[in-house]
Amino acid sequence: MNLIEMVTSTTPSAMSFAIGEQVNALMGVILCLMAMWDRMENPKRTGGIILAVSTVWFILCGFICGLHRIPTFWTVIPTAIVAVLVFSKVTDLTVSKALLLCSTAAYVVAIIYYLSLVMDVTVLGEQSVNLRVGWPGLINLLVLDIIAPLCLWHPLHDSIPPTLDSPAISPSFWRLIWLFPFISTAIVVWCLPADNDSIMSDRVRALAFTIAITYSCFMTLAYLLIWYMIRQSDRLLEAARREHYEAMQTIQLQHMNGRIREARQIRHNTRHHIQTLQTLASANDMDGIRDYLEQMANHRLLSPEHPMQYCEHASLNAVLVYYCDWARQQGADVDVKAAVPPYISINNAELCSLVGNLLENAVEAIMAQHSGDKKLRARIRYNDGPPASLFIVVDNSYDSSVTQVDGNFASSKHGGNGLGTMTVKETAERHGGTASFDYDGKTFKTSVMLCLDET
Amino acid sequence: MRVAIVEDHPAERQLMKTMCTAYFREKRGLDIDCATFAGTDDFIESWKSGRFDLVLLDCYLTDDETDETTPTGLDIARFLRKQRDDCPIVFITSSSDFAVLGYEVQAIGYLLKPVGRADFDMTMDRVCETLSKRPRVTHLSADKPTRATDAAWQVAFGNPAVNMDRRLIAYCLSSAHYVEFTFADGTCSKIRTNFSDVEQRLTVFDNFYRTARGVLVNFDYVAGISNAEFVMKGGKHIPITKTAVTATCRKYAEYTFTRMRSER
Repeated sequence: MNLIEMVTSTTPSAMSFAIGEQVNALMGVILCLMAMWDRMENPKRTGGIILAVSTVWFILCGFICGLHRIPTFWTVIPTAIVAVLVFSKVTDLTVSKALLLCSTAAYVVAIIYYLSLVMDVTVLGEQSVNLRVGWPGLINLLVLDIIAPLCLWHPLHDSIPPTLDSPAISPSFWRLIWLFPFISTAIVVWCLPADNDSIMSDRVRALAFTIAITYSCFMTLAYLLIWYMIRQSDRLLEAARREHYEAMQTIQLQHMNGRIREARQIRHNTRHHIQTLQTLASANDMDGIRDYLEQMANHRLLSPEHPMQYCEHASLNAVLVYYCDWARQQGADVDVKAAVPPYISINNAELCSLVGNLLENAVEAIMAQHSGDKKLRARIRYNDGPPASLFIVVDNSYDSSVTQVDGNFASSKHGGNGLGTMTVKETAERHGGTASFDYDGKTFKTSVMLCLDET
Repeated sequence: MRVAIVEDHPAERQLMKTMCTAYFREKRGLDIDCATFAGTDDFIESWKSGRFDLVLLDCYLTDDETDETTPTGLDIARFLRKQRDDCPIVFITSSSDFAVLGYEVQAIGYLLKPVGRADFDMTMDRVCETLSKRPRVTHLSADKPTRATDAAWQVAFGNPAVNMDRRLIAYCLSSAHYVEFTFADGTCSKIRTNFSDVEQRLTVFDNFYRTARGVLVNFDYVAGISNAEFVMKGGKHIPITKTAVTATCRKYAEYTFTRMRSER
């Protein structure tokens, strides 16, 4: 029997229904694309390819399922596994996060399919086919497949993706949370009626229907709550950072005041010195004058001279003075230069937190050194372009072992991710720039570029 | 060679002039034209009629600490840089406070008063080294370079060969059988040559990078990045291949970081 005869001998309805069911799976792919659109390098191209390939693949699967009368989910489930791998490859998401999004989409696919089967039995009764929708089921399926993406557009495209990057949430959360939609989907698949006789009774059907709807509401509520909690954690983190920044700013300004007091002291002392010299001069005491001048030249307050101004940007300057003085106190050789005008298009708090973080890590590393030369070298340069950009390099001597955790440098202070380096990377990326950290065994090198004028 | 000295104390002014003239005559065999100024206004007037090859600036041009209106040497330096004058600047100061501020105006260095002969000569050596590394303004010629130091920077493209100083190439665009070179001063030249040949020979150097098909950019002339495009000094927007935007920006950043790490 050739292919055409094979196709025409199959009940036309069975074939088209099999293909119709696959539309449901295609909707699942569309949901995944909605959630991962902005995370792909070239969304229009990659997304387009995935959609085209999926459409062809699902039509083919529908064809095969119709031909051999196998339930469609036998092809959908392996496809889902492949989809997870493909999505984690083309986006910057980890496998766990891709699994979370794909499982969520899979749940929607599974529950719609389940409801369609139940609807089919309700309307067709004895004429319904096991694990295959008929006309009522198919209509139900297609309608829900249109409604679902529309309803889920805002959560999947706008609300959920940003939470995936939240700095307040540790990676271990993402490693486990995918189990929630995954197990839910597994339960739905397990509950699919293999034999429609089991749901012939009205009561059983009503129960099945009610439980399906209730469970879905419960899932939606759970997602909402988790999203809300992540948002709250973000706000708390932001507030904590703000508080830290303000505390640091107070310390830095107090330090500046200390330096200003020192400078004022010198001027005060000048009067005293002149009086002393006048006394010596009227006594014609040349030796006395020479000794006194020698003493003055070597006075602590005159040398060595530590810069009180590194750049014109007032807040940034306070940060630099503070950390340079601290580093010098630790016995480090400090070589810091900055060329930043008084007003640039980046929020003061952001700039000072960023540079403050980098320098704090550097000086703490120097403090922890037991051997070797202590060195701190930093350069900050502002390019007014246009478009404006800021380049920061900080190199410091470093003598403990540094380990990389998940691509971020672990702080040796507390085993987890150095929250400082994560903040730096996040700030840099937010400004369309880059942040890289390098350790060559002797020097820890940080390099940050920010593109200002870009939101 | 024109040298300017801006210093408010007459004795020190004279001393600087003497040391300067002596250095260039004895060490470089040059008779320089050394002009001295007591204040900003005189200096600016003279600068307007002709730029200087080297400027020595005293940091404080007044002895009155409470005077906030008289411009400092740093102010003069900022003015020069704003007017796109990239002449070498050396600060003369009695405190090392200005050591770090000189970074902003790319000063070659600073001299601490009282200025000793040895320090002065060392700083002048650095000035001469910097001047010799500067490219000549005219970049295209059919004949060989006149200065030996320029030879290393020469590249020739096309047939008949056109010589150019690669430090002056801002970017290259391929068009039909020609390659259009745009230079530092904004001028363009269309040279009949193969783009891949140009690409191969220039990308050997860290500062040249292929951002898209038929487009080669010199990172030294990039003003910034906007909307995933390079904006060159002068305003031209250079496209970057969509799939390689992250990698290209990273390369540009790395080049700049390396330059910043090797500066004094």
